[in-house]
Amino acid sequence: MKKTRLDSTQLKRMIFCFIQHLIAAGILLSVASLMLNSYIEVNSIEGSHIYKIFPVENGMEFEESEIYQDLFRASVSDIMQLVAIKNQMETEGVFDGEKTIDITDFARQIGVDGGCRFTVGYELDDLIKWGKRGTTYTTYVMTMSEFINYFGYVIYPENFTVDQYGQLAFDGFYRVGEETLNTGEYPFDDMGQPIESAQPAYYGKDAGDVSIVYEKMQYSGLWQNEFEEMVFSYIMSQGLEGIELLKDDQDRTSVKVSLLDCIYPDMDGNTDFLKKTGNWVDCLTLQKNLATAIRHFSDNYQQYQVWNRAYQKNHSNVKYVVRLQEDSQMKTFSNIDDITNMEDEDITEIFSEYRRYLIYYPDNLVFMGNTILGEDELYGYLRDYNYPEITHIWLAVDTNYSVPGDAFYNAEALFTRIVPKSWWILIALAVLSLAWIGIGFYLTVTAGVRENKDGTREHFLNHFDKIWTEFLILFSGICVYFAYNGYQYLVRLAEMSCVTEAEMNGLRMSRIYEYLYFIAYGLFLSIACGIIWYSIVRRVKSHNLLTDSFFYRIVLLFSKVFSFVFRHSNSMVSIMLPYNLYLFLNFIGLLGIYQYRNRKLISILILVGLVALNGIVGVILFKNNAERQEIIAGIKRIRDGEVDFKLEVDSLHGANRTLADAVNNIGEGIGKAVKTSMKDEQMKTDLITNVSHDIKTPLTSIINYIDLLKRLKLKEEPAKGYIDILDSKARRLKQLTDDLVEASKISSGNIILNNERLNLYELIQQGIGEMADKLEDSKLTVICDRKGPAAYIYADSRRMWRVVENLLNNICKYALEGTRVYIDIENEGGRVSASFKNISKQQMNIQPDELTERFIRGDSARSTEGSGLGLSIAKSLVQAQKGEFVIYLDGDLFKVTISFPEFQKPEQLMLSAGQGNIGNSMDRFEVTLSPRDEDSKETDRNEKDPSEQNEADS
Amino acid sequence: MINILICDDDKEIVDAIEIYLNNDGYQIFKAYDGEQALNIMKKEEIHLVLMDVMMPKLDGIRTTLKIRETSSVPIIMLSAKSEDTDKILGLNIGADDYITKPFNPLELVARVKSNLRRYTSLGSMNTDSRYIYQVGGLTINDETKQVTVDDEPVKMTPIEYQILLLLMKNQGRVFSIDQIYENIWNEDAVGADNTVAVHIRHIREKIEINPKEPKYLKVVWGVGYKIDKQ
Repeated sequence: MKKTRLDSTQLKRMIFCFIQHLIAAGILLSVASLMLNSYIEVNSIEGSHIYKIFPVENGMEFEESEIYQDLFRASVSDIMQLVAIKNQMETEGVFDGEKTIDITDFARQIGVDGGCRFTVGYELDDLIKWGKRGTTYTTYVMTMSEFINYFGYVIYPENFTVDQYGQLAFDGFYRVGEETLNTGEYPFDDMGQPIESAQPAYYGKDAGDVSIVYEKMQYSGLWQNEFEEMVFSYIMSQGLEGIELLKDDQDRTSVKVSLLDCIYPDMDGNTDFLKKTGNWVDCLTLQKNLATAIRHFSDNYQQYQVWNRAYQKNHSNVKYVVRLQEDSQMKTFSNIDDITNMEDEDITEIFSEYRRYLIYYPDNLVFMGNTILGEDELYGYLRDYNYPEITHIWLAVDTNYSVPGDAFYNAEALFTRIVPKSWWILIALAVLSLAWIGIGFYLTVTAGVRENKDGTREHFLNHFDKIWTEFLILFSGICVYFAYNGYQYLVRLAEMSCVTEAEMNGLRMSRIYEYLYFIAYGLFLSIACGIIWYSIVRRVKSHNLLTDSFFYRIVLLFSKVFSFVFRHSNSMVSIMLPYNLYLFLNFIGLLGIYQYRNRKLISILILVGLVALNGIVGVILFKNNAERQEIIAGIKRIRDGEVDFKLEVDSLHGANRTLADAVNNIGEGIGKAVKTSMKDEQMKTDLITNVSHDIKTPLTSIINYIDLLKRLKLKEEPAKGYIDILDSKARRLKQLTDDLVEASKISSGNIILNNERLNLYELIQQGIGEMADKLEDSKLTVICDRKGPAAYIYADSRRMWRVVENLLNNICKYALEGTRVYIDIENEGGRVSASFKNISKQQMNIQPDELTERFIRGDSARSTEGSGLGLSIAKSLVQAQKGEFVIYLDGDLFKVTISFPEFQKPEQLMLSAGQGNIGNSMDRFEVTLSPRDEDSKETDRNEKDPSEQNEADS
Repeated sequence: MINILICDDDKEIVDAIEIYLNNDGYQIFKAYDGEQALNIMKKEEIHLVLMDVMMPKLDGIRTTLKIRETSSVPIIMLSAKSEDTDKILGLNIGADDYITKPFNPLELVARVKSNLRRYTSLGSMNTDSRYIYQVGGLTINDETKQVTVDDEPVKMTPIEYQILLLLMKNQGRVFSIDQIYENIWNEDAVGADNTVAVHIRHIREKIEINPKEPKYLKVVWGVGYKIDKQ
């Protein structure tokens, strides 16, 4: 897993990864060279404009490109407007500042006049100068009466009319009188005279209408201020600019009027339009017209200055001639020399020689040309700029671009510089992209797969892949966010790149930095893609894309919870419902106490009820738990071997009772199983014992008759040898049957231990004494050594003798003749141990553990005498007596160590031994089932009733 | 003439035993089950019975019980059952000795002789008991320094004699190796190793019929040696 195992595949992958990122950098480099060069800044009249060349436009002529078309359309628009302005401002092709402009007429022409009945004339110079200085206004505030009567008294019948509903309404300022003599009163009550005198004129109104109005005014009973309101609403309805209504604290209305400051006098020397017009409506309309004219002319003048310069002779590759007839006089505007007096046909001839031209006679419906501009578009310009009906237009672009410095020239130069290069860049881009995808495919296939040494493949994940999938998605989101922002920055960078020394975010970006930025972006994209995509691939391959996600775990958890709840729907009903009911009752009770807090009797009753309820629930819970504890204690007892234990079922209730029944059944089952298993073991031992009895009887005859044969003192040599062989084999068979019975008894735990305090050293000394002859026969010297205090252990002395006998026998059989046998008895740290060391006669090629298996002997040929059970019996006996039996082999050194806990306090054991006898004197030694029964093991079979024994045997 | 009854359902075993005992001049009666044995017992004067345990019709245990109702003749049980419990059972119901199959024919003959001697010479030894210590057929006379087993004299080395005498004087008491060593050699038992054990084994070989299953000088494993009272 660690770096140490960087196999060839992984190394290859790393190299490919690196190459892929390099390729990504290359791709972005080519993209950069495309993008950084595909924007063209063209400086036209209206400032610079940035155009983009799409790679698909490659191979087009410049005249078909979008830039050209845009530029041409802009030029046509410019020229049409320029000619219109020229027509306004020029006389004989030269700017004429003393030209008189009729303001209202002009306003009507451009459609802003509000129906002014007056006009003023201004010199063009004054208007332009005024526009440069700016227009200022002076504000006047007056009451409504003052406002209405500013120019004189107006409440005359001639000024009113009756509308279609028979209501009086103000109609217009037809009759304007002197200042009224008595304000606040109806002038008509006392002064019939002026009406009479004015009657013949009626100020252009029908006499009948006036009399009807008069009648109405006489009898309608309206007050003067109501008439004034009518007048005011009329004025306001004219949509005049510069009037505002103000309301003061006492809710009195006053009128605010803004009046133009007349800096320049008109042609007649007037500066006061109020006097000239005599009423608010015309005055303000005229003022508005004048302001419009000022703004218009000053703006147009500025444009005129720019455009006239841009499209003047020999300054532009766009050529134009416009002829228009005004006041039955033909005017010619052009930027071509010597054209004024030419005939139309000649001009057409000249223009049709240009590669791109446009000729239009709207009056004759002639439209010729090979540009993208349509007739409708051109006609739209004519209409917008108020061209006269007879207008002839010739437009052309010099496609040699012989005039340097204009927009067409610049655009053409950039276009021809960039376009041929883009092809190569595009090809490079395609090749690199293919390479990137190809490597990506290879890496995708090999991602997350590792080949083991044995050639098998396995999927693996790195640390990043082990975090939750949601984090991967989050990480992807962050990457996408940065990529998007980076892309936008990239586009802006590309757009700015055509402007020399683009400044972005306060940084001056030189070309190199722009390219570097692209490369960095490419690397970022490639690395981010790599990290995310290959991680996804590895996760999919290892099938943990879903399972390793937070969401999946949550879903899993919920499904577990739900399935748990559904599985235990019984518990839901039996526990959750009563529990909720209990809670609800408590809640209701508390609520009731609160509700009836003023009525003590009821609240006390509820309180008592609550206490009783909680008490009952508590008792039930306590009882339930106590019963549960009882059952658990019972289970523990059964687990600890007391299989006959029975729980008291009658005292339990409900589920606990069921549980207790089940526990009792299980206990019974275990008890039966234990009994059966013990019986089986007993039967097995009995079987072996019986078989061995049946073998022993014929064996007795064999041994006896062999002995009788021996006594015959046969002379023939081979017969004598044969008898010896028969003799030894018969003895061995005897030994084998004895050992077999013993081994089967021990292994089935079917032995009775008469444990007592004994001295292991003494025992071994006795053993050596017993075996002295045999040891001498084998020419072995025994060196017995004792360390520490007297080594007392608690064991069955005869079994221990069997152990020592077997070990010494083993030594006699297998130790190399003439060597020494070391027996060390130690008493250290509460343990008594004895180790038997000897040098083996034969090489031992088996494991120490195997030696204690039954019928295993150091010599696989089994040529020596013995049953092969010796060590096995010894080990089983030692273990049955709580000892340890360890065999250690080192070359020819054979070492057996037996160890037992030291026997220290005889009094205690005497006591426990007594108890054991009282309890269960016939307990068999059970290794597996009841290890705690060791106390009752040392039982004296002597005490047993002989008749009982008899039955057991037969 | 001493009559011996051999009772075993295995004819070959009976025949083999007959051969051995005939050699020593005993008169043999043969029975192949318990009933035959009881019949012979009624008709003939039998001095010793060799009784197999597992037999058809009437087994050895019941036959022995029946015999014991009328007779105190020595009974040696022959059995393939080698368990302690079997031996104890056999001895408890009245058998005098217990030999497990397969047996060494010489041991069988020795035991037969031993039992016969005791049966015939019971109570004949009645000399000065101050210097004579007796356990079963084993007698040690400290005055004459003579050891007899079933009236057969046994040769002993001085150390063997002293050890045996010590144990005979203190019948029932267990002596550890160190105690014996200190008593006999009058030295501290440091480094006594297995000298005593080897002597004990030699004594047993001399006084016991089967030294591995001693009748007199018993090993109390891990504690010491003793001679039980009888």
